[in-house]
Amino acid sequence: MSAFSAAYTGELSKLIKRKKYIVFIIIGLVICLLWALIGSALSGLIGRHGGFFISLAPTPMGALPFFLQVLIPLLIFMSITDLITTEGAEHTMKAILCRPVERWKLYSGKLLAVMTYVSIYLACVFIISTVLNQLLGRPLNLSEIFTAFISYMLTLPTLAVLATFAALVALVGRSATLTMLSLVALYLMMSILPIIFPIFGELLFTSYIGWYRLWIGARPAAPRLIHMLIIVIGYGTVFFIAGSLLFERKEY
Amino acid sequence: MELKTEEILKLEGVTKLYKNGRGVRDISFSLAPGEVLGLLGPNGSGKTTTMKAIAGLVYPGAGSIQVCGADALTRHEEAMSHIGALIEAPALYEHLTAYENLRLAARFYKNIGSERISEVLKMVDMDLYKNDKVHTFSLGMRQRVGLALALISEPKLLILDEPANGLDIEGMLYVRDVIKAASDKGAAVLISSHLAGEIQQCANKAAVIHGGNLLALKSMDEILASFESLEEFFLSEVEKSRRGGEVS
Repeated sequence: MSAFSAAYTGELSKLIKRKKYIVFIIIGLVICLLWALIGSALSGLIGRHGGFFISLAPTPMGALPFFLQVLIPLLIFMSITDLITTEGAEHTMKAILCRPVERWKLYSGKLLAVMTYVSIYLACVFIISTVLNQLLGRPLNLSEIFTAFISYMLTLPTLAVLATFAALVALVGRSATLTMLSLVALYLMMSILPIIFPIFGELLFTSYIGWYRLWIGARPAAPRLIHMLIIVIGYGTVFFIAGSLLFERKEY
Repeated sequence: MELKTEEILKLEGVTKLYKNGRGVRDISFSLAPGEVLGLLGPNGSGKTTTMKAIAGLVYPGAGSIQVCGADALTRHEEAMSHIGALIEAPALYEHLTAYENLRLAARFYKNIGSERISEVLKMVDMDLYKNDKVHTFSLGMRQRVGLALALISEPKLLILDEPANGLDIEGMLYVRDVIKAASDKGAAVLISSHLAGEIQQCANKAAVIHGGNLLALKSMDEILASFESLEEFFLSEVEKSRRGGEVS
């Protein structure tokens, strides 16, 4: 097994074997289920009294913004904090750094493991929300399901940028609690700032987390899409290189 | 720098200073197969920093480290493939079992499967607890798993920093057996302790580190020919260094 794949599989197994990450998946599924049950009850009520049908069950596209803006960033912050700050603070990072693996490979393995977990999480949300919608809401046709699937896939690059940003902050943090609080505060700040000062909407990478809407909706002109791509790739590259260099020089 | 092929470890002019001014200065020594070098020094003398520099956990500001002919900085993966280390407290993942902790490490080496993991756990007398989570272990049990982690790849260079910490008498005797077995197989062993008696029991060379400087390095036979015990040798070297400091 190459050093990179050993690092990646090791990091992923460390994540999956922590109970809280399984609980996080269960919470996601319970939210979808409750949403569907409450939604279908309300739909029935409106249908009976209002004389028309409105589906309030979670469609995959309806569930995505909630998970994308709230739960998944939290999940990324938590897993990155565990794999970087906590391991540094508890000295467990030494266990891997003493092995034959270059540090940049270990760092990349950690990021890829987090993104794999996020993909699994998104897949679970997509499957459960689709199934629940087909059973309790207005059934989607194949083309709508495919569009929803593409939307879920499109979120991954921007979430990867968020993960590289979180990793950079986690490398600087000394305690897990402080790192987690800093990440949440920074994320909130970056989400609120564009509302107050619209100019930041163009500049901050967090504004592009919901960019799947632009790709699947009425598509903006090619130059605008290229501009967005450059910003997302640029942020990702800068965060990744800065994080790699910092990790390379960090002493444990 | 010329490296003899039989040398497993060669340090030349290694200097690592922390922001507080502590660390190590100009450390040079080499280890051949079968040699067991005991680093002796008080807490904060630089023993752990020297070991961390060899294991790639801290970067020396100057000097070079070669492991089996590979530069630890430029050919990191190759150099690390020959090292097994237990530095400070064992670095174990609390939410994983003893077996899973070893599995994580084993992934980085070719041909290390579950058989070798079970074998090493048996060697450290932890095979009965291999499926227990580390957070349920006592300090001694953790130290044993830490030893298993250091031994899993059958390293050519075994680095043990205060390996007897938390171990009972049986455990300490066991550590000596492990060191002897590794040395008999041709591995070089670097062991640190602030207990001179412990080093005297298992090392065939001893070095005194004090205030970040390597004061002396001699074979155990040489030391015991001139001094009654290793402890006396250590005190004499420290005293000499202090007198030298006062004169200068």
